[in-house]
Amino acid sequence: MLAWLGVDEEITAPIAAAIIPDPVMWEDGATHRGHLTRRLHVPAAPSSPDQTTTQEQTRATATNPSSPVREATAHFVKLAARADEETETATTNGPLILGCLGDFTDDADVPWTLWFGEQGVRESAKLDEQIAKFRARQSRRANMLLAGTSPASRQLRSRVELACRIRCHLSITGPNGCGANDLASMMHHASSPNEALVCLDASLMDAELLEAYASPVVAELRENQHTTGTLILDRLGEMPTDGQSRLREWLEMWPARLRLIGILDSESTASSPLIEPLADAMQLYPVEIPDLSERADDLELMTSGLLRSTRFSRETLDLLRSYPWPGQWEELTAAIQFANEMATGERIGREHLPLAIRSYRPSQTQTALVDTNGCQTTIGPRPPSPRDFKLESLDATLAEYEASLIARAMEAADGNKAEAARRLGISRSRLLRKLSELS
Amino acid sequence: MTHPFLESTDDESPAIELTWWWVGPTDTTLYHDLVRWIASDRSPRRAKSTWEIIHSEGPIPSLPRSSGKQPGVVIWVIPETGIADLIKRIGEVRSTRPGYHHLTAGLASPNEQRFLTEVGTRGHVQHSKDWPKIANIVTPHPNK
Repeated sequence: MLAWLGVDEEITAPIAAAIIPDPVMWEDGATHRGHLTRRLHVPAAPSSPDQTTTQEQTRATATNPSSPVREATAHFVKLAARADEETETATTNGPLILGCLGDFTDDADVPWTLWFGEQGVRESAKLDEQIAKFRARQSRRANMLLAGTSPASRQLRSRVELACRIRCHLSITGPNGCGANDLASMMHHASSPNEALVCLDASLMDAELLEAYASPVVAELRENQHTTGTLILDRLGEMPTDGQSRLREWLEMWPARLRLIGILDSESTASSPLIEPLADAMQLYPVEIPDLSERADDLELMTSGLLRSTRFSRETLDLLRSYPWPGQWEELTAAIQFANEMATGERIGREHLPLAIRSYRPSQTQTALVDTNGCQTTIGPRPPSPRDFKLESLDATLAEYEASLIARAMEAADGNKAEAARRLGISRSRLLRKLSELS
Repeated sequence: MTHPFLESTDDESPAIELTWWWVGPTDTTLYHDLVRWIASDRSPRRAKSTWEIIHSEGPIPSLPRSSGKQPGVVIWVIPETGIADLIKRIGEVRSTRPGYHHLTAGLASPNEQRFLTEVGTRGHVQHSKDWPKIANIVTPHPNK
């Protein structure tokens, strides 16, 4: 293995431990597929123009820890037994570990037939097919999200169509569950097909986790000067600050090669804003997804598209239009899927919808009173009715009322606390306690 | 089948605060190290709380509809034969039972890891020692 790595001589123990794959890969005797990637620090290019071997570089790191370092990748593949027989190195009885140092081996470059046999080739093709199917479904859902003739839909569609033609940082803002993920993926694949993509929940990503999970894109950017990559970052507004700092470093390192698609929650209560270059990147091309309740006229088109049929009864469509859709696009797609599974006949009726939707009753109360008297129509505030009663908080209201009564008593008693206590019907000490709480 | 790694010593069983579904073989180092990690004091599990791991017998776990309180965690083991079928299964479960955190565990190439994030998994555990990295995923981040 060391020869394959280009290392001829003995290497120091820490470096050897770093580049040798973990024993978990062969300890249970089962055949494993897949790759194991290790990162280690090796010195930057030596000052002398001579070629320096990796082994010498690693030694330099060990002897001079303060020397500048760069990251390299040791990439290992454990071969299945059948593949061993086909390779020239089939003399070993145990599993064979191969690796390479310094180069990132893309799956496209892996000799699948040689390493994994015919089965490996079939699996690779099957994976491509499944991914293509998944992306097609995702794209179809995103197109349904854009469907409609309302002004809000037209504006959203034109923004997305332009974003599909250019490659730049994007931000997608909308309420939680608005379908931004589907839209982000669609815009990425349309604007930069075949570019490496990683989708992450940014709210969970501190610097360490981000480094680990974004590595499929970042490693390629580090090791190949010509590749580009995209990170889709959901809930970017809630990203921990150390994670944002790491993103800023990457943006400064690869300003043109790394593209960010940030998804921002319009209802988020995140207190701290994004740090400077991230905020700038997110303002470059913002796309705003309107609330679904603002697109009631588009719902018929959306639901028909999702279902690929017009099986909804008129009553059901009216209900879908009046429902406020707090869960946004995700609630709509789940409801349509549920109704489609529940309906056995030709039509999808109200009774096939989820309980929360079919039991929804729109509020009948009017905010204004329209009074028509002969040829005169007066529109004014509606007189309060017992049904309108609502308190924000009973405790707060009582405390407020109590404070006003104490103030009135103090005023009536000219500031004499004993007299005020008598007027309130409580003891002086209790009044003093209450005044102290109020102050 | 429920893993009994955290049986209560009280007379009354405490409520399960977090449920994990393990989809794949359990006679692996990955699984045993997950149990060890959760049981250890380095895991995000509070000392008095009870978590359970349910082993899925079939290729698709039978998940209840999410109550929306604490989302359950589904861990999909990367099959040795490839992730093509796995991607399909994750996609199906995510669409029919929303509200769960999906993670993958096992050896996957960088390319495969990219695909897995694309279909909606929140994290990937390549090696047993990576379990602590998912702590923020299964429990809320302290900085948030």
